Amino acid sequence: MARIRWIAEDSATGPIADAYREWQDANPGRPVIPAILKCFSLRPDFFRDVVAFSDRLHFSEGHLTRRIKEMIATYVSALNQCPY
Amino acid sequence: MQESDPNVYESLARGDLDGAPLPRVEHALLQFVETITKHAYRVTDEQVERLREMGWTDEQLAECVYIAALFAFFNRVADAFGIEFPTNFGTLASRDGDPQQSDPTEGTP
Repeated sequence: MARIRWIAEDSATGPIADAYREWQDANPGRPVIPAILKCFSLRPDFFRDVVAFSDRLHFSEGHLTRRIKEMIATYVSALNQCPY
Repeated sequence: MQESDPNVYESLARGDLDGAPLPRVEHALLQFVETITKHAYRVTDEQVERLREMGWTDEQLAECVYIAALFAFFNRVADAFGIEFPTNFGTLASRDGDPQQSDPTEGTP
């Protein structure tokens, strides 16, 4: 659980329930919504935007290969967790 | 197909770029990512020009900037909310597969 409230899969109703269901349909076999995405659950409209945004940029074809994009994501996250 | 070298990801996940067995051009791209992540205002024309000379296209460099910035966004949100593994979307089923286009590392000795 996070320090700011988010909506769990089993207590979602209305727009966020719909958004969760769509994400689950697009990601078969993954009933759990990733924590980073649950952070956006208090704004279901923005949750959808974030999912679309990251799917378009990171998980679909572009100019860099998925392998390189994955390396960039991994390295950025590591650097952000390190104190300077 | 994605040829992912676990050693590369392990090193990068520790923030150890020099320990990641990578081709020179990919190492340079990740140095660019490091500059953007730590202090984007320090990116220089020369740094970008060097990447171009290595064969990276402006399209690729632009996309690299977007990804680095996107994950900084996710990291900020995750830290503020107090969750671990901020960018762990889990293993995603490949949707469109790996882009079939070449990158500068292909075909280089």
